[in-house]
Amino acid sequence: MTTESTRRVGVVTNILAANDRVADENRRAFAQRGLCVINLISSPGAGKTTLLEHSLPRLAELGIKAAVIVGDIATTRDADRLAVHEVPVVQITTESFGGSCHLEASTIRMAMDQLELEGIDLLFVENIGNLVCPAEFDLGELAKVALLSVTEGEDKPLKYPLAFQVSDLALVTKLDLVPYLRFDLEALRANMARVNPRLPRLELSAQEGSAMDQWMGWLQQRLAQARR
Amino acid sequence: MHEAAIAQGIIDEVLRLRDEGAWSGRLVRINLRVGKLTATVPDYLSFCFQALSSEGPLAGVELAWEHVPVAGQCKGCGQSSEFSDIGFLCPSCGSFQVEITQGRELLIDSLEVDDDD
Repeated sequence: MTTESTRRVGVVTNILAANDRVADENRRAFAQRGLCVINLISSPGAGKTTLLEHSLPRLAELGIKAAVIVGDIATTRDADRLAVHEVPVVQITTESFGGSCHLEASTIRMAMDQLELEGIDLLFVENIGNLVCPAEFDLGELAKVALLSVTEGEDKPLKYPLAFQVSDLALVTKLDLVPYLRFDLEALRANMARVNPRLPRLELSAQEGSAMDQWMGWLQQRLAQARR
Repeated sequence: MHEAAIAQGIIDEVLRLRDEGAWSGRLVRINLRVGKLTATVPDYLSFCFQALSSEGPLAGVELAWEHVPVAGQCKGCGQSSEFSDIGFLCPSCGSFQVEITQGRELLIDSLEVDDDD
């Protein structure tokens, strides 16, 4: 209850300050190593793991050493799929029966301790499948990439604007399925531009390989940025 | 459901501020400033805050908020506007080149404290 003796103390503090402090520590640790960290954000089933499955062999061919931190609520399926590519993979299973909906900076710091990072150029963080919460939490990454598959519908940028506002690249995935869908690619482009006109976009099919070269090119630019 | 993490963030920051000497006495209310773009649901946040604080030093403390509307400035014509809907079209010149200037806030603005008798 507020009474006459109640004082108001102005504090103006960011609620996520604790996360942001750890994220800044992560960012400094990554910069010291020249490590390029990419945070992949999407709804479940947009194709984050499939994108990585098809990216890892290409990166290996380019002589780029990659590692992956996989966030998942209940299973190690994604880590199992990626482990066959012989890159270091750490699985963060947040809870046996469904836990957190996003990764936080402190989770990444703990996962880092389990990874052999010597000689690694590029660290992917495959965030938990969710287009809302992961957008809010800085992990200390160099760049966020938002994936949206064509099967999700062209209206999703309008429904989940924050993910597209905070990201540095949008990847439209499963492009090979467009002929089988009632999907309006032009409308998706317009909706993405409405939410964030400065967001670069690649439209690709990981399985068929279209635009994967441009994706590799974008990653190489980020790698150069991380080494500066 | 990122409200639980945000509620824990409020508890952690308020206790940190107490330990740093920013406030003392009996905390009555925490005033928040929450931007419309943060997709934070007040009822969920209150519920999580109550559940997480119920057995600690912040038990019974009330959460109050001020919603911060989304606003941006047009990169084309320089007009500043508030937006009530997604799709940030400058009402002055029709450009989509709008830079968001507010609406992402997630702040503890002030604390209301009763002095100890």
